[in-house]
Amino acid sequence: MSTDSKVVNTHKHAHHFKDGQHEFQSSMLGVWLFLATEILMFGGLIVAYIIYNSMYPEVFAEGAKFLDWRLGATNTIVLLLSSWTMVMGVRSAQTNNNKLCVKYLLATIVFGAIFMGIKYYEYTHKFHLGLYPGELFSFTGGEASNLALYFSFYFCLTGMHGLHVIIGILLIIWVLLRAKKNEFNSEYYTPVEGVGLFWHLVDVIWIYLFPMLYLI
Amino acid sequence: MSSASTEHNYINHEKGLWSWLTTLDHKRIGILYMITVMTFFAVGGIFALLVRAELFSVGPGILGTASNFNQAMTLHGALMIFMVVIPGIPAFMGNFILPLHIGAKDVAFPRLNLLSWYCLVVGACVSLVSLIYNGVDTGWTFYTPYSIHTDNGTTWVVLGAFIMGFSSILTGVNFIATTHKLRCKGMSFFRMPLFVWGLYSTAVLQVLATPVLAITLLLLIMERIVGVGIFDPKLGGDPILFQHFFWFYSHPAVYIMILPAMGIISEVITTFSRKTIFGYKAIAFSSIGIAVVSFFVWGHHLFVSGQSEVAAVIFSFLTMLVGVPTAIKTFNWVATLYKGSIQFQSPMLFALGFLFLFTIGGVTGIMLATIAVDVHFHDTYFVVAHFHYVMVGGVLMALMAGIFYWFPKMFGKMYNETGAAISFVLIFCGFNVTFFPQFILGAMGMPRRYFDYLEVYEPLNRVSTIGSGIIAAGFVVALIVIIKGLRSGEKAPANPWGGKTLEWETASPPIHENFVTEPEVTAGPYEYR
Amino acid sequence: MSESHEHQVIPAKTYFNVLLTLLVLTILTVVAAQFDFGAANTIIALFIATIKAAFVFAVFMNLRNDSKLHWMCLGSAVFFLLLLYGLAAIDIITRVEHVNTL
Repeated sequence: MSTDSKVVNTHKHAHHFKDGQHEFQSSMLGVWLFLATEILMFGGLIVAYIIYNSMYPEVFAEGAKFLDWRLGATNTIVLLLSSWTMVMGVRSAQTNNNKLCVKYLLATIVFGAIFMGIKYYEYTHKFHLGLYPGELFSFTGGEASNLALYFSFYFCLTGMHGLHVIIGILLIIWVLLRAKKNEFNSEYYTPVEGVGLFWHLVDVIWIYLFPMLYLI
Repeated sequence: MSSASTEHNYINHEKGLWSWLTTLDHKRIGILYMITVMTFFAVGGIFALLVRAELFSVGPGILGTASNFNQAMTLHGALMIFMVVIPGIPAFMGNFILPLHIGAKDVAFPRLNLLSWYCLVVGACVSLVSLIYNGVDTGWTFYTPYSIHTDNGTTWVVLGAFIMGFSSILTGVNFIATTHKLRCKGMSFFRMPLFVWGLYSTAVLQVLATPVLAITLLLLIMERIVGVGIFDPKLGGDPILFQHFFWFYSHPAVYIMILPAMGIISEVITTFSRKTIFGYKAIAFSSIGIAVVSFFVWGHHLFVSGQSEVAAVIFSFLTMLVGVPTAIKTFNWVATLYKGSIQFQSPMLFALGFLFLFTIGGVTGIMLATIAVDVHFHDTYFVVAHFHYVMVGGVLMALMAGIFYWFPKMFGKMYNETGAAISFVLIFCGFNVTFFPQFILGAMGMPRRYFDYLEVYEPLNRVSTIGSGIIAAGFVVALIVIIKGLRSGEKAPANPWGGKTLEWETASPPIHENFVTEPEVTAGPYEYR
Repeated sequence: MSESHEHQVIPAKTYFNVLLTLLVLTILTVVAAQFDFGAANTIIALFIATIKAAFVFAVFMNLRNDSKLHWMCLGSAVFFLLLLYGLAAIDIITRVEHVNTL
């Protein structure tokens, strides 16, 4: 395990904590509490989706035909890879390997961007067909009269998720810039770990969205 | 411990408005919340007075039209709930007192704490933009499909509430982390003051319930702007599902309001009885118990909305369950009074008022939990009276008790006791004159949220309106007492009430770092002889 | 309480193995979706998804070595979500159409 030379811990813990370790534990608890709120928010939307799916199975089955499972599967793989590069980035910071940390964080951002790119392609393809959310829905070829309901859910779910991917990418960029300034080491890597946890949750949400939207 | 010099404290630690607006000190943030909450209380109170003035007589009154009335009544509710009662005790007093109670220097995440205040202020301003666009007339519950199609500023209020939700979530995250991680030496969980147990249970609700409101409000905004149709029958949406989602948060929300209030009552009753609280563990566990069970009961708001009968029966049963831990607390408080050496200063007066008024409110809640009764009382003034008894008779009385209890600690000055006692009498009597007749009006069938009513309801409505004037006078007196106390009150000692919790061990007002040396605790919080 | 387990460094190989497992499970999800198991389609797909999520939580997010409080955060969020779904679903499923007898 290689170590960068001259690793100096420049981080000072806040005055109300006993030491850096105390601060780290508290920060992680804070992140997990925040993740709980994200699970409940997305979960609420997913619960609504499941309930409507059971109320209108034909409508949802018809809507799902417009989704290309190959793109969905590719995106799933992209996010899983990004989770792996993220956790390797955290590990690199933990083991004082700053250069490697920067590389892994960069890779994570690239994977995130690929995900958004594929999403962009999927969205524009749908808009082209007139499949918009809500009142803008102008597709007339459907059998179900309320096919728009399915696409409302599709755009809300994937839109919410996509927004979180973008926020995640911005957070990783922030951490990357700090890493380049040598701010992280084995004594202090809290922001990397914290952002990593957020990114993994974004991945987990997609792990559920993929089968729900594309496969069932 | 001798009272430290008041020359250096958190108030004069740094000077200037900017130092307050960028502060990371939990005590200053608590004061910022105090000012904000009191301001919104005044505005919400004015809307209430307008509503009551309108209802003084049959026919149009001061508000003129039904549309104006609907706006006033909606804004009264939304303001009071989102900007006063939910943040009121946790964000104001909790922020100030929690770290002191556990012997800490600050909350776990001071920057998030400041951010939570800004979320409240920004969210409130966004809500008030709605006034430019003809306000909101949906009632604070925003039921669909009306809330989707009503052509006014509803989107702004909903967006504002969404932003204010983050304030609540951040406070909750902060308090849970603080309670777990920043307790001083010797402060085990069962040596924490009961106010901390109350705040912790509240924080759990804030973290777990608010996100569901967040997604519900977001979806409502999407419905209004883009027409996604998830709650709109036109597209096959189900308005009852909106109610399920909305009340999944909003029922635990009322426990976000009452649990910290109950925490204050535990503190005040103990201190002013000079006796250890009866059943510390029972009260502590019942706080957590109430928090958990509160998640199971939301369907009692949907008894007559179109919910299935099976679901209604299940929710009715679960709602009665939540009365049990609440009753346990009430019995324990009364048992604490028994053979105590009771001091009748204003904090205690408000606490005793709480016991009386909250019991009525709670018991009428159990009445409403009975489906057959609710079918008759739903959407009548009976419900209005019930929730005002618990929210005003409960939460607001506890808030007043807390303000007068901790005033000397927060500001280093004493307030005028006679003035405070007068405010209590006015508020207590005024409250009963306003709201007790509403139980009767509801039983007689008067619907709520109505701009006008039948002749037969007029006499009791007049009594109720007069009562609202008395309450207003009471709060004006209280405000005068507070302002006079701030300007020219006598210097307060570190421990004017002989309290045993940690905040009384440090100066009034506390120094910036709270304690000169980190406290070490070797006994429970209420060790009176 | 020993501090070391929080800063414990997980071997790179472990992370890589979990990645491979996740990729395999993804392929499994897609393959399973090609067959029609009727009502069990949903359950199978969500079951596999939950296993994948469990790996991410347990290893990538280090929940298996972490403080119990973190488990509680995840567990309580999931529990209350199930509660929301459960009781709302009971309502929807048990709704009876009332015919006006007048």
